Amino acid sequence: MSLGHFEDAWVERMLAARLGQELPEPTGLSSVEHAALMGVPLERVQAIAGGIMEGRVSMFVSATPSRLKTLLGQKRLRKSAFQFAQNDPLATLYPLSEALLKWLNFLLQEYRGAEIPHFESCLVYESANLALSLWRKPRAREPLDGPVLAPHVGLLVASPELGKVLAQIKAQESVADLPQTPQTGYVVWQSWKGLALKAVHWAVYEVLLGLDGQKAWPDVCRLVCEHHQLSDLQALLAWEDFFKQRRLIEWVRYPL
Amino acid sequence: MLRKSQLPYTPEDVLGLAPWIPAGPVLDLGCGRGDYALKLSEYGFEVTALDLHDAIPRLQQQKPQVSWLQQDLRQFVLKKEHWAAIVVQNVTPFLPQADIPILMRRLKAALKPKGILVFSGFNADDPAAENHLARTQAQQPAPTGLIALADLERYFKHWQWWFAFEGRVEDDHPPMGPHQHGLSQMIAVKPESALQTQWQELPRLGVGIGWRPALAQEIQSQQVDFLEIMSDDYLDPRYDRKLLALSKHYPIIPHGVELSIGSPAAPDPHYLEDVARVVRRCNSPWWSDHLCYTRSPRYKTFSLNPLPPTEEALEIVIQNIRAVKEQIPRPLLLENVAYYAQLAGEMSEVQFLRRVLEEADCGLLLDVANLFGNAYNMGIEPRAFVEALPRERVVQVHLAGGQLVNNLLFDTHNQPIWQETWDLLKFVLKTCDIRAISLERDANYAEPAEIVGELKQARQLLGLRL
Repeated sequence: MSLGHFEDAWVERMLAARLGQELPEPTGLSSVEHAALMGVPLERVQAIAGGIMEGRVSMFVSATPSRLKTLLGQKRLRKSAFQFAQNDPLATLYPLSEALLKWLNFLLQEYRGAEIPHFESCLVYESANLALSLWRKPRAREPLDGPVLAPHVGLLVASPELGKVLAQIKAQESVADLPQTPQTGYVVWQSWKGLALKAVHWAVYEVLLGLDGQKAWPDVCRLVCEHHQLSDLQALLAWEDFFKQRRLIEWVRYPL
Repeated sequence: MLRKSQLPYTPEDVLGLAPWIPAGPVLDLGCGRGDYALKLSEYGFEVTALDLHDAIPRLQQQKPQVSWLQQDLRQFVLKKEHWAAIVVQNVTPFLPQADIPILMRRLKAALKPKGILVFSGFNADDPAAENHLARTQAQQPAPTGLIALADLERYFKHWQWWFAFEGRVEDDHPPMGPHQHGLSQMIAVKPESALQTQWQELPRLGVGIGWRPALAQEIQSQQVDFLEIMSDDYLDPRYDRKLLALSKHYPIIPHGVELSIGSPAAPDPHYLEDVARVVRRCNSPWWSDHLCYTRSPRYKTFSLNPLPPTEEALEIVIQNIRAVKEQIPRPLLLENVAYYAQLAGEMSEVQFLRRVLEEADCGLLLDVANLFGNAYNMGIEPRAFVEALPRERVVQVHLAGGQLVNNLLFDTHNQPIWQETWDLLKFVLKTCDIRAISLERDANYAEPAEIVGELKQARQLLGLRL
């Protein structure tokens, strides 16, 4: 069976074309598949690879959270997306979710210190929500213990407080006793996820303290309130009440 | 000893199962004060709740979102394969023993395939087992009706069991105060069997569009017969409520990009499980993905990559489709993808496509824009391609606008539909009995009038054909 070799070889040739490298010699193919692959001229391979990259650039631009789009502007964003895709050709292979986190990180490096108001706090907030949205739900027969917790949460920040919150989540009891079907797993996952949201927002808060100082958090709250057209802005700004308000938990559940 | 709140199906937890309840109405038999019924209604289901409880007239007035019926369930007509879920919470103690097997048979028949039964009843270990809680239909007292878990297992032998419990549970409610129950409980799913698809009997959906939130306003203001959703965007159950809400207004066709039917590795059963849930939620007459691969053994790409037209690829695709159909027994359409290079092989592209459709019993989602693009990029004759297809299997058409990059026409979905694509559509409509046309637009929404015009044009062409 050689179809897998053909498929790998096709992808590798596209990548090499993107990098301007010599196309690799395929191995393990049947004579028919070899002829099919080699029958595509170099110029055509380069054109296809260019088209794929163009598509990815458009996708990065369009998948950028709207707040960041507004802050950076379409033109600047497109230029950056092109740079990102050129610097990191594997971005065409990453799952969109992973690629988006890398893309946001690229933006952070690119515009750190560029004095765009609220840029860093907004970006960190968006990254946290994105990371959370990537948190895969548990599957059947998969033990619902520590490793299911989103590694992204830990990647985002190295915070002692976050560690404590995560430990609390991991200490949830009775999880192992429940039937391990996707359905019941989902019920458990929902409640864990609620707790993890707290952890992420705690983490974001701490990051913001480090980035912009204490005033950044209200800025993020204001952005989010505007986005969701919430009127009780003042109440949201009171940090002590933050987790007491169910509505906040509700709206942070979904990426902006 | 368990406390009742620790059992998996408190009303909140039944709600946790909601994403897996297929499309259709939900029934709460013996609803009491309506805890389950109200939660399920709030989620978005159409709920009927039935009980002899004296709270029903008040609920009828105060909570009209649920259809409340004050009635003996034995006099309620349970339509065959009508209900998407039935909750039966401790009703059997109030039925004489002889009525219980009848109820079980009725429940089995009343659920739709893949419908969920949530059941709780007293067993012989219940302290009330010796009492006379039951009533005949003439309202005469009778011994408490009991059911063991083993009985439930026998009645619902071939069902997919998600939960089973038998044991003592502490309870505390007026007028009894703290007390115990011996309960038999189950959550199970009715099996679904695959049927041979009669392609020409699939419904005619008309003209639709790929659902994109950015186009919501245009979609609401126009006559759109159906929506096509990106099924991969709805695999997470937390989006189920959105989908349920959408499905109340439009027929929905799930369309995916991640199936990778041409990968040598068998399709991921977990992925299929998620897609099956989405297909059931939409109650769609068919669903679709692409004839290509997105995953090779070493790479996960985000392109719809071309398969070489070889016997080996054919065999792998057919084998994969069979596995898919076992888990998702609804008609599957495969879409012809955009190729940017002609791949030589052991047969032509259209021969390969034809054999896949016929040997794996699939339908075709003919992307006319891809076909035009392939003709533009590789010089194939698109009309000959259409004529070589198994026409009875061409069910749906996609339309979109592509973009020229390095003199290749790419399937970008961000431009107006090319005139040549419209011309080709006219030919397809003359040649095949198309059931649905959908537009795809993924970017450049700035000119909604352009998209509205395309919807109208597609409708006109489909109407002319009819």
